[in-house]
Amino acid sequence: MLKLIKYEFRKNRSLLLVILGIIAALEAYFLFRAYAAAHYNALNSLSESSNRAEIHLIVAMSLLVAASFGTALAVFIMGVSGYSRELNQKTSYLLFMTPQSTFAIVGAKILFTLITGVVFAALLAGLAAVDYPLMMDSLGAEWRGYYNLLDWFMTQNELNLTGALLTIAFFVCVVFLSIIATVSIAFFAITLSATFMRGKKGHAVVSVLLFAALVFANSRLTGLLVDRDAYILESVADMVRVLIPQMIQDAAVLALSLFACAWMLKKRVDL
Amino acid sequence: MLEIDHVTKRYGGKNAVDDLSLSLEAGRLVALLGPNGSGKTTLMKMIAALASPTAGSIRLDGVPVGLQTKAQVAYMPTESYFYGYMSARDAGRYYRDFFADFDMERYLLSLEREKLDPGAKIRTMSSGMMAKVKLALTFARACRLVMLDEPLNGIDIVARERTLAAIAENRGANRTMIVSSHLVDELETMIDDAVFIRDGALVVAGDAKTLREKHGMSIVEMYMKIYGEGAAFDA
Repeated sequence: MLKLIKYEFRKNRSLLLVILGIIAALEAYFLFRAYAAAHYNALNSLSESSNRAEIHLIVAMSLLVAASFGTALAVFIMGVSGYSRELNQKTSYLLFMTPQSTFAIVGAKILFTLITGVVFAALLAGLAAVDYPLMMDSLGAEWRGYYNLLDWFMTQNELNLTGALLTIAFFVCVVFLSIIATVSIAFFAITLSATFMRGKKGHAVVSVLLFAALVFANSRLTGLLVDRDAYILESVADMVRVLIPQMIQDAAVLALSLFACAWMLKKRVDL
Repeated sequence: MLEIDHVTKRYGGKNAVDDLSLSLEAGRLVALLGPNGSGKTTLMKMIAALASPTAGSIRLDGVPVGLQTKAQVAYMPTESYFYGYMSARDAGRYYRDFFADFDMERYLLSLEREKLDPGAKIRTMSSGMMAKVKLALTFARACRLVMLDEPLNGIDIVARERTLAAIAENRGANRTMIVSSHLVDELETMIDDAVFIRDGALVVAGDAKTLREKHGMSIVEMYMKIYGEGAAFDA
């Protein structure tokens, strides 16, 4: 499966480099604006130029935030459209003629999407961790550091350091599991439409509609499993307990979609 | 070696392959003959486990075709099937990564002999050059069954000669080679067996020499008789 993942990265290298390039350009713009704002702040300037520098800095930060959402969307589209292309183009021969199981092939594509998402999320989180204090400093605003933020979080939730870090890790897992379950639903919709509508017009539209319907049904199921009122909770431990059914649901959706895709590719989809 | 037992492949309301049964022995060069749309590619895809039969079964050395047999089958599609980023060398690396029987050195030697630059992007190559890359990749594998789908399509007469020479050169006692084509005259002299299919159904199949003797005509003449307009053929 590692080789399959390697080739997923190789196939998408150009797009990944474009995304990285955009993030790098926006980060460079932000740093430039932070420097300019800090410069005016050091001069204690109240001029129009100083105000403009601060606005530019906030715009630069907003662009980085927007790029984060854009990156998440781009990774999702890259993973899903890559799979769709694979089933509808002749390059599918290259992949499916190899002695690799359909389970490994679909699994590799989902893992590629997950790994790409995690790497970009880590990169953007790292940039945010550096940029936010820099922005506060450049604007002359008070910034008490991440330690104090963590300390506040631990006090509020009566957690020690281990508990706080585990809680954060848990929420990261919940978010990524939810995203990857959604990706697997998209894969399922594409495979299903490739099974029944191969070569027919409108199969892409059917895939999208099927995906929307399945995501809607899945969210309704989440609504039944997760007690919305319980979100107003007293402690993090309560919140973790409430979110566990959703995690189990997402894991089940992921596993079912993966097995269903692998089975359909093996038995029903003709290349 | 290859057993095709009452295989049918249905697309929509039409049988692309219709109750076809066939048995091929090891070490034979088989011409799979028929006009466009006769079901040759569909049959090959089913043998390569890229499509599933609607009915019937296909076995390679007694094993139903699927994941296990993919390691023993080299299928060369007629179309370009490479990723856009791939150079000829990248394609070789891909085969090396996924097929244990792939010989990279042999592949690169084939490219060199054909004066092809391993660093050249495949998508920028002419159809003749691309055909050479596909053949070099396919023949660099040491597998039991090789299937070439219309290898003579869209290439000039020089490339055609080189392709036929490569086919002849890469025959082996343990390797069965199936070559599909509607350009029969080029294959006439080199094949061991001929399989004629029409509308997905088997018309006649067998040892080429025996067929010639039985019907008193060449394979080309048989082709003309079977697929010629309004002609009848007594198998």
